[in-house]
Amino acid sequence: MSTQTHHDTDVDPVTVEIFSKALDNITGEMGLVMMRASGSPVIAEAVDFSTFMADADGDIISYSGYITMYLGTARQAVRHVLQTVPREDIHPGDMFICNDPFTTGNAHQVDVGVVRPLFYRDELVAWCWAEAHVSDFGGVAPGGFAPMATETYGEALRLPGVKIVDRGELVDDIWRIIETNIRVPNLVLSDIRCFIAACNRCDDRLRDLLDRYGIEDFRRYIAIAKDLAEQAVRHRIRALPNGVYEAEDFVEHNGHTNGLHRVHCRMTVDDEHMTFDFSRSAPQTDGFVNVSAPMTLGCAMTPVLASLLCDLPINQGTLRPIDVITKPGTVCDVQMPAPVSSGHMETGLRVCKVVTRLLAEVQSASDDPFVRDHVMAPWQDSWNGVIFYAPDENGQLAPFLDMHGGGSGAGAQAVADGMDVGGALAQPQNSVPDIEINELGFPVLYLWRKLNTNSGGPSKYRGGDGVDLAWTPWYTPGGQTHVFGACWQVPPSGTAGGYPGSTSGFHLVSGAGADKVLASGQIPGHLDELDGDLQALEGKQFGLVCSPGDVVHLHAGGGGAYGDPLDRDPKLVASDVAAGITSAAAAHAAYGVVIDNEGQLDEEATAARRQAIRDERLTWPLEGDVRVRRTQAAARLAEFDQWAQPMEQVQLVEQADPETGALLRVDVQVLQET
Amino acid sequence: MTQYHIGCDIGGTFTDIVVATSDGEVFTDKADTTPLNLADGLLQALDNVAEQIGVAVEELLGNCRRFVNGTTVVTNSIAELKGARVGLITTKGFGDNLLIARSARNAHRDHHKQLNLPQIVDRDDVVEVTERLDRKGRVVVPLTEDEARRAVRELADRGVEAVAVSLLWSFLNPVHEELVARIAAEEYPKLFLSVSSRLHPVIREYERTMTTVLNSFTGLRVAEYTERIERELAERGLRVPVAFMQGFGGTLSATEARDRPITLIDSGPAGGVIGARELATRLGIRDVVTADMGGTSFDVSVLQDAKTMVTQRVMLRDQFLTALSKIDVFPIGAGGGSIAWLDARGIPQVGPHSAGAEPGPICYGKGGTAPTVTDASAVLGLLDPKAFFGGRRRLDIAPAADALQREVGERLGLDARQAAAAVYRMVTSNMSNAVRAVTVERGHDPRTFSLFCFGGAIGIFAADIARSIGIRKVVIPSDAAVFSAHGLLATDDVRTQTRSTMWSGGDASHVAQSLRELEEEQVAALREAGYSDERIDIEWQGDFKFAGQQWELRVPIPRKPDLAEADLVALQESFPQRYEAEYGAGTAWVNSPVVLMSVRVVATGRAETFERAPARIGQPAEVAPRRRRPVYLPLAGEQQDVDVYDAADLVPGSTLTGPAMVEHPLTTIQVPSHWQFTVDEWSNFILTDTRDRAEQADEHRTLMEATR
Repeated sequence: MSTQTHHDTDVDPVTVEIFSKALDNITGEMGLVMMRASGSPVIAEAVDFSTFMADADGDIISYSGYITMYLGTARQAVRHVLQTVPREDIHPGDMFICNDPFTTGNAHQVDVGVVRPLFYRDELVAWCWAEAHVSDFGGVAPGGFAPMATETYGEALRLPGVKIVDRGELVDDIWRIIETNIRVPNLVLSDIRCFIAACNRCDDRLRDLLDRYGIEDFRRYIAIAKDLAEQAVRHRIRALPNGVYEAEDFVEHNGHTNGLHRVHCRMTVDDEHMTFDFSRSAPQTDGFVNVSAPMTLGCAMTPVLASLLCDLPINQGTLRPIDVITKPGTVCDVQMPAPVSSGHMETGLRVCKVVTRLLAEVQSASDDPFVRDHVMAPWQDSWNGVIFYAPDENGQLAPFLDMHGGGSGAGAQAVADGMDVGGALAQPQNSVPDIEINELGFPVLYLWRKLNTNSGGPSKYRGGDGVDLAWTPWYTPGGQTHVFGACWQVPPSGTAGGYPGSTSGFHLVSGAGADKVLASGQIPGHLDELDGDLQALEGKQFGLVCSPGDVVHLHAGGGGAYGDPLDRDPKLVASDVAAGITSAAAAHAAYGVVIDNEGQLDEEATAARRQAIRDERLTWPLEGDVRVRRTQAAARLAEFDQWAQPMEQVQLVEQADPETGALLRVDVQVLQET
Repeated sequence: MTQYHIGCDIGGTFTDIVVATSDGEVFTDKADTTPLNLADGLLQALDNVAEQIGVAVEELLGNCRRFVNGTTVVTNSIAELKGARVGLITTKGFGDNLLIARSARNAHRDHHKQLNLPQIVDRDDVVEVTERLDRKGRVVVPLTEDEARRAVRELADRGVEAVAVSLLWSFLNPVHEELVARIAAEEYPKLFLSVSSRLHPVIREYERTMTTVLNSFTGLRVAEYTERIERELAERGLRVPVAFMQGFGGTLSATEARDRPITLIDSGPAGGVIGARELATRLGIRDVVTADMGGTSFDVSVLQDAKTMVTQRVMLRDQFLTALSKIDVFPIGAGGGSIAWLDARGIPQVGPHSAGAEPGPICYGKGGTAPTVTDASAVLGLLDPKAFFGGRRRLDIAPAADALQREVGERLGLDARQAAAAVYRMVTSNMSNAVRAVTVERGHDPRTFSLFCFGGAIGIFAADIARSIGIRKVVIPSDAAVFSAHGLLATDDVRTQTRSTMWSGGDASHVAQSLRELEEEQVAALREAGYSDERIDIEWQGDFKFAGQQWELRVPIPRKPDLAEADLVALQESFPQRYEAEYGAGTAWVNSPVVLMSVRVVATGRAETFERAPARIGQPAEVAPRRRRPVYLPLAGEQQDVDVYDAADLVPGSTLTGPAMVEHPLTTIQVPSHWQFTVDEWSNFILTDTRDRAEQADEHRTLMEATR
């Protein structure tokens, strides 16, 4: 039992828990202040923000948990202030502003945080932090994503934890520097005011709490809460088999060139301790895809907190038994002056994915059913952006960033299918917009929006499907389009014998004449039904001309899958075929399920087809004690009616049991880096 | 001749009935709910109360001037996903709308909580039609009659029982939806039909479609239910139409309920809040937190300045985002049946899993094996095993104590009573946090609020919840156990309809016209229900936002027949102040146009109510406890002999001080030390904190220090 190793056995865990919930109420309330006080849809609706409290040493004592990816940043921001500001210069009512990936560990420069020391009776007792994605923070590109940057200097204004409020008074000089350097100062300054308001609320509430509990109990209880969490994490890690496990994934295309940048993780499970070592990742690159070490920490912890530790609170104790190691100068631990403005969506999400893959492997081998059940397959983890810069019918520029970016599929679970249109793992409360809301605000008309058939990996529990949509300019003379996705050539692996999901891609059909087709009374339902020049775009491509009648198409990829597809209930496959989630061809090729001409399941033919697939697996060459088939990934997936942008060195390695023909594992492997 | 008003709330376990008479008397009774045919339970409850009053059912119903029914039929249909087979007709290219579900991600960190939504329409039963409008309501691709007919026939041939029609931009121009509706009505008059532009003509196709689909999904059950209730009651002499409670707060006629059944969702909790509002008004209390503790959940709501709060765009089952509005009720999984367990750190937690009514708590002896909140209360001695439920149910303490010791106590080194105290403290903390969520976190100071408690299980916890959050006054209504039914009698008839306007300047004649038309429709409906014009109140409202925001703020619009552009411009100009009043200084968007997204007319038919006569309070009567019994006080962590009073001995004006227990056949009330308990002139139980703030703060520390 965990209580036996407390420092302090006089305090019962119920009291500590009630107290911890009171702290969580405060960080939660900071979040509510942010949502209410901010005019920004990014905060109020996309919930792209975080709040937390640390103790006097900067150790996390409560994390509101909106976005776990920012865990490392939150802690680093406080630590950086502690390390750089002399103690005698930290006063009650001070606040420090932080947005510098290189010192305060932010994801990118438009993620701006405010850190406030909390004093009780003249003593520094805690810190709080409120952070969110703001609309702009200066630099070469509006909105802060700068694919053209080759170094960080031009990306945005950077503030490395400098005082923005001094003893309760706004520091006008800093305020004016910000105001002068950014594009939409009103909006951004009001967001910063709301971070300040959230920190003020925390100060008030913590003081009330300390009035009731006293400083001594505060210290005792937070120490015990950390210990309790730590012991539970240690206990949970013990449920994993010891060993060293390795996996890698690849950042694609750095905004300038289509290279692959390796994100490698060596995970060590050693009794009750885990290490995630990213040292062997690729060197940092001169495109905007790199991340800071604190972001790598937050991204590595995100799948850990979603699966292995999904029932435990987040505080410093949770992190103690887990080390995340990075090597300075790699894509996972960027050093000046490499650019970072899209790093969390590129290297960051690759870190999430590679850890998801490792956890799936080690959790599957656990004796603890809770741990085994909480296996998840890698998600597509690509936020697929489409931007359309065009004037509306009144000549007003209406920049359109389609929030269907959150439309890719989730990884399958050990007990259920992955979520369709789940977004990236690191985005709790992801949502995609209503068609009417997008058409109301922006000069586009959608031709279709449907599930991207077969995009989730086929398996016992299939990966979630992504979205498939197309639009044409509407009430506009046309403009420029940019597209960017993170998963175009290297599909997300499945787990436990499940297949990968499809990857994400874009098309532009110039001269499609969609407006004329509509005027003739028809609605195109597929790219084949359009005229014009069909152009498959690269994973990232900028500055495309898009005129009336042209069509922009996104097919977002799906999640990795769980388990041999031959183990999926044929009735479920049949109903997926009826729903358009799976095609009849994929049902036949991947699931071994035969659907007759009336759309009904043919059980006899299915049994025969499944046996034929098993028999075929038994003809694969023997490597060691398993049958192995190595193929070019895109070509093999195409047999299942799936899609990935072909790339020679991306391989699919299928391994089958030599006795039964059961699929044991399917890995995506990249033969060599470029 | 005495006349009657009857309120009947059909809940999951009990069917509660309240009869108010023109003489100022009130009678309450209940019967078991009969899930297979809800009307049976209602008739039984009616028999019970008629017998109590001493009249024949025929006389009671024959002299009934108002009959209001709250029902869980819609709530259950959606909770259990049992409803009609629905076919959906939608725009070509967008048939996957319900599968895409605007991404079903929620805030849970646990990825096991991230699941695809259950589909209430089979994807096979979604038929796309070639038609398209754009954001100006302009027809881009016309819908042909043949195409509309093909879609309707295809669904009818498949055997659907109900049809929902939801096309893009139909709220701006219903021409295509009306064409489908006309063909469906002509060719298949028996199909239940819901049309999105009639039901909720407002932007955002996902929630408009979901609302339309759920309306069709629940439609057949509601039709069957309302027809049955009306027929059975008419056969027994009822001569007035039955009014059905909506989750929004007001009532509807049976015909209207059949047309828009989905508005009956969650009418039970709404009844409770409306009842609290009526009681608060009678007691002259303006700011109230209502708390309803049942077997599986603890529901809180706020009345500020005696007004109910409304939630818009309600999420049902934590899964289905709809365009519905209803009275804001915040639920947590903490009820008498909530199960206690140890988390991975060894800390006791309570709920959200519940032992429910079957098998129920261990101490009920009906086969329950998991320790619940009720078991903890029984082991602590807060419930008297012999006096529970008026002595009708004996509590078996020993197995409950064993289970608490085994499941909770053993790993923590606690005996059964200490384990029970830990469960008590944890569930009280959870309930206090829920009260905190609707007050402190929404900018209200709970210390200025009173706590109104109803539901059988709450009397034990009420004062402890209040004092842990600084509330000094608790009201437990005399009819706490049938309070939702009571609320039905205080409910007005409400009709509301919304229409999309999307006005941001310029000619406003379409806005004024929409409001006038909506008013005409709603007033006609109320007249139809028997309200004369002097008993009809009308409100005009607008949903405004800064262009680019997703959420609107509801603002009253001056009601005048010649509403013009200048009036709306004035509202636009004052919008930033209103916005900041709601969200705080400095939050209004700067240089952003203000858009009037939609307008709404709320027409209220003021229902007749009978005045209740208060009791005369004489000299405070001396009250003597019936007995003393040992109770392990969970917050103090010690056992004491506590005075036990019988509610039957108390009269209006009776006063006593804690620590004490008051036993009533339907509820047990714990009176902590330093708290005073009185019975007011309406027979409500009032608990008041007698100490000043400083003493309270001291006490809080002592309470938190409570150890084993």
